[in-house]
Amino acid sequence: MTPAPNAEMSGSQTSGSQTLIALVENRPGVLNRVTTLLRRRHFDLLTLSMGRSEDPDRSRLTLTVGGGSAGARRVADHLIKLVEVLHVEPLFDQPAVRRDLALIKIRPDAAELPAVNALCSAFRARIVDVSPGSTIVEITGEQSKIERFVALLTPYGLAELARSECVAMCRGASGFGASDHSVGQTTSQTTSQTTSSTSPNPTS
Amino acid sequence: MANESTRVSDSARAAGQPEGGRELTGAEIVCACLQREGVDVVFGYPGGAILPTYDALCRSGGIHHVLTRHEQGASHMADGYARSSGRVGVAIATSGPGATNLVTGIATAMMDSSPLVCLTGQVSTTVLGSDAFQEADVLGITMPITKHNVMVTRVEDLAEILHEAFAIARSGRPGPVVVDLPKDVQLARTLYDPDRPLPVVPVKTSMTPLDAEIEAARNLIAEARRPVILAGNGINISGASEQLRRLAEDTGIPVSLTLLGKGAFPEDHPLSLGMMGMHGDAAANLAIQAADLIIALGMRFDDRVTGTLSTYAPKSKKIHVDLDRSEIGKNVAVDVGVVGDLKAVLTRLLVGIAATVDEGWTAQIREWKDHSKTLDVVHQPCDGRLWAARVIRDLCELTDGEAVTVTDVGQHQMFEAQYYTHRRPRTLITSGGLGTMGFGLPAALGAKLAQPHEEVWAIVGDGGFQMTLAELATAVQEQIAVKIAIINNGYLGMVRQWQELFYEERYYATPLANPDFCKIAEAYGVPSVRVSQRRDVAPAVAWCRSVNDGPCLVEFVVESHDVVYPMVPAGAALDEMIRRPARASTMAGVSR
Repeated sequence: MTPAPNAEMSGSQTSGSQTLIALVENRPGVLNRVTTLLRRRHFDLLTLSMGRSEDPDRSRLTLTVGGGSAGARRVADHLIKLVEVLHVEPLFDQPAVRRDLALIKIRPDAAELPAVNALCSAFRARIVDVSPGSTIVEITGEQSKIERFVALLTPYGLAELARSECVAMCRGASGFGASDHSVGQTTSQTTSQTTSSTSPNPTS
Repeated sequence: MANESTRVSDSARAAGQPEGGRELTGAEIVCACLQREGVDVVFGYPGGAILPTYDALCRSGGIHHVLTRHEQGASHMADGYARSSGRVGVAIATSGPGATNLVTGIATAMMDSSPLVCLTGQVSTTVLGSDAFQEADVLGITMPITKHNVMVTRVEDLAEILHEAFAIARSGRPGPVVVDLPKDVQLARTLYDPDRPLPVVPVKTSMTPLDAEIEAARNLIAEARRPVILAGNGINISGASEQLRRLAEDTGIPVSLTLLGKGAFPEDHPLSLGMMGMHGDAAANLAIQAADLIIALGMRFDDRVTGTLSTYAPKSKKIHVDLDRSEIGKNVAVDVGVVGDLKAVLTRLLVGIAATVDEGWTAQIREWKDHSKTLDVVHQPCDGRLWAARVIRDLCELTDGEAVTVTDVGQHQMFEAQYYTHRRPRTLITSGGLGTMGFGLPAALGAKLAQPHEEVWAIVGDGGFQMTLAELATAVQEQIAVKIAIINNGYLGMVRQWQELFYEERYYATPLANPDFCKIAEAYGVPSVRVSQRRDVAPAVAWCRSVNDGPCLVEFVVESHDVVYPMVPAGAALDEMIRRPARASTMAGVSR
């Protein structure tokens, strides 16, 4: 991707990952539309998570993208042009909760289980399945915490790893859509006509 | 998921079936909606999956259908119709190959922000995804090249979706919308209420700039000494050419235009700098590189406009006004970005506008313009041979610069842009962003149908013309009085130019063994004349202008070894132009 060649931009403006939240219409094909846009514009998509929101008609996406704050701004400005994307908000430095859920299947020896248990308590992870020869551990937390935890469990025979990737929510009462950075509408549809000067075709 | 793959407003979904009205088939609803949108002409090609809609068109009356010879012609015609009139152009095709043939025209419209609605037939919903006969994933194929696309899977949603398609195509930054219509949806019946309120496209981002943003722009203009205005297609789309002229005249700031911006500002105005960019006027490019303020209005800093970005306009602050927020800062970082409709923004900006343009700057620009004239081929002695630039300049003078010209893509396109002086918006129709060869003839047919009172010239090269020449039959069948000027140099001229300048004159895959274009015209029933001498240009143009009952064609056989100057080579700064050699005698040197 080619960021605007602005000499005054600092490093964090053009590099590092940023989180965005988007509300989209809950319809088939919307995810395809979003990923098609990200691919064709060569945006640096790191993670994408899609699920339900408080409104059954709307799905909520959390994206993390590279390219720093300028990259996040560009992604937001393009996403909001999609008809089915209702609202986009890059989080930038806003206080927010970011969580990733991981299921980790390991194959510890019986003798190693106490050590695994100790690690789990230290990280507030849970053992959710114990079967002959394998154990599944569940953990939620910020990405860096999960990565440290996975690294510590790897010596016990890491067999499988499944991650939800980041979902995020802003802290505080004001919530999604209140920030200066947000684009789009959150709850009620705006009904004012667009500013285009082109009027409907004159009836022939 | 909440619904079938359709998009209707919440209110429509809550209402379920429309109340009142008559029971119609989906195909009949398509016709009713087109009529309600004021559509007078559609361009298309029938086939199995869209036949119910064709039958309904036949029975409904009121909408003229133009049968093209290829679906690409239909999408280009709808595009030409849209660009010349500002109204939404409509193209219709059947499923599978019909729809895929529209693709080039849709991508062309997308790049140049032209409002289209394309209706494509689709196999029945019952066999979707089964590789049925003439099935193609039209939604998937057109998703990256449309402003929006949608498949209608319930006839109850059809009217709402169609009206929404028109609203999306024409609102904000215009663009193409594809509506995919499965055959069973066209045949299904539902109640249709012709008086239902039309859907409105919600405005998601602010289009009303803050006073502070306008003020910041006004302040930069007041402080500038060497400013230049760069105006693009946004001025034409917004209808803001009057506001642009006032801005230039109230401040004395010169105006340069992008290729698609031509017509936004009269090019014979004393403040006109001409076109900018790769084949722009040298004065415009030199001014941009020396300016201390760039005022960019409804243009997008395309690579053909900027040359190498790292050296672009290095001494200037930049103001960028555009309706599309994603264009601000996309290629060029700006000091003041203003998101809004050009007409509204300029109207506000003009209040209390003032500038103090350096006299030295004005004098410098005059000097650059005068120097360009001395190099200009049309100011050099006529050596009897026919140069493409002279053909275009003669055509401009013979038509008083008042014709609507529609070009194809290549050298003739750049000669048109350099030598045809446009004064009114929407009088040059050309594929700028996608650079689509084959655009010229069909787009000219659409333009003429949209504006029958205008004199419309299709100016095409011998290469591009052959990509869509079958549309001559459409012109004859519809008796569309376009004038076709083929600038025949026997080569893919622009590619040949690159081979001459950058590939050591290896003219590979560019010489064309052409048919006899006049005999082709005759076979289609199109009157024609061939011109190969300068003295025959004026009589041929006069003859063409006298043909008003259908198409006519002039083949101009021009010099093969010709180069569009100036040229900014790829990777060079905007002011590092290759200029036309200074003396007339070197013209022979160019012509090997």
